[in-house]
Amino acid sequence: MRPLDCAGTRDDIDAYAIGALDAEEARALEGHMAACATCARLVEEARAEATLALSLSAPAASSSPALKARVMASAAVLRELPVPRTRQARWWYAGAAGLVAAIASVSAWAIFTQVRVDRLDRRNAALRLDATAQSRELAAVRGDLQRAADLSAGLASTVATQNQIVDLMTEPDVRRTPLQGTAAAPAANGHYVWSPARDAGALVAAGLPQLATGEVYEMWVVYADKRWTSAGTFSPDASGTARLIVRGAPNDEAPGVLPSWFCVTLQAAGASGRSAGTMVLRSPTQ
Amino acid sequence: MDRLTGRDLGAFEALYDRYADLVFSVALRVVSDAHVAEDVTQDVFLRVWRRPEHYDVRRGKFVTWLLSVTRNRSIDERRGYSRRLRHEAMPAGEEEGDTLPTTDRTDDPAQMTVLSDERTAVRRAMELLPPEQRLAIQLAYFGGLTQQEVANKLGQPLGTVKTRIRLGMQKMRGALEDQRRGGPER
Repeated sequence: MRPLDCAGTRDDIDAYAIGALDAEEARALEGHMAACATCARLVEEARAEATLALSLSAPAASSSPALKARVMASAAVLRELPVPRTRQARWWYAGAAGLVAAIASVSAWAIFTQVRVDRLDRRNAALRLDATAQSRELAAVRGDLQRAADLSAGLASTVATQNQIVDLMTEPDVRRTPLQGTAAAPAANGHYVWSPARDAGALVAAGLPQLATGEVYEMWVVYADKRWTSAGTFSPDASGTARLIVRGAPNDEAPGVLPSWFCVTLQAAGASGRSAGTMVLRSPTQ
Repeated sequence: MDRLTGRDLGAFEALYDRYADLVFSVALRVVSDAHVAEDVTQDVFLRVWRRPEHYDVRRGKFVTWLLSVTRNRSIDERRGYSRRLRHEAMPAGEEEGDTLPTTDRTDDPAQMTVLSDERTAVRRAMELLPPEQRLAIQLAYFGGLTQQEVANKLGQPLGTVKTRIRLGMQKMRGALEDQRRGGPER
């Protein structure tokens, strides 16, 4: 699409203000707004006025006292959590907080172990005691240190993934699509959280059957025209839980075109990219 | 907003009392289901409570931002898979409000917000629009449809829909300005 000028922008202002431009048109207008302060101001004014006026045109309705009680009770609980997150993100946050605590513990263990290594090194040099036994102990402690480092790195990676999901869930346009296990994996369940604006998504699944050697799970985004697009492969942990961050997600490949549904298949590792595996998770049929 | 940032529950309750019905009304208009509209309302207010810093005072009035969040959240809910077919059978804008489970609160003036006068003015302005312009605007705003999608739904050329939206919005703005100046309605 060619860049918009001021006249073209002003033709589209009202449609933009009420959210009626498709993604490509909106991007073109926003591109012009970034370069033209006058048009940017006009667009913001039109959007504010349209939002207020059209919202006020909705028939007035009263919310129930029960809703207020629910909201206030939730707010009171959420106030006790140290980092602000949305309601949907609360359990993610709680999980992330637990992992942070675990990392702190592992880090303390690593420091303690390093102190032991240093102490043993000094003893080894100064006393020249039983070199063979001392070396074995030193090697064992170094092994402890390496395992601590590996565990710490693994937990840090999990926390980073959790944080990416939490960030995604606080996007204004976030969508949550539930996924249900098929007959091939009746205990499986999950959600796909995705944001067209961020061009990103996150799959969170639980209850997945363990993989055999040479197998992977693959996530698919399916469009109304039956086009299947792979969103990546993954393996669950020992408990059957898996998380997959999808960057450059095929959420919005063409303006106004959104995925129809999502699914996860069991694939032979060499067959990923071809939608031929056994389906284990899927979003509800349209 | 400063009191919200300071985790003042009393301030949050005051804000809820002031805007809850407005947020609920917009959500109900979009999703056409009181239970879903309550869920949307709860999400919107808890989002404000947990992340008050998301509102940037430089971007305009708080109420405008709140309504924008409400509309976007409601549209997302409307597009939910479990409700998609039902809504496609009865899209927003075609109900014209008369089938919605609404309660006008003109019998309870003590609880009317400061926005009630503006609501009356907006309704008058909307009534002045030709029905085809009003419908195109409502399908876009409350139905979350693009101009092309509105054109497809109405079986009209895209250019016609663009013109209806542009003229409708201009006419509504003009009518609101007339009312603010105390001038005659067109």
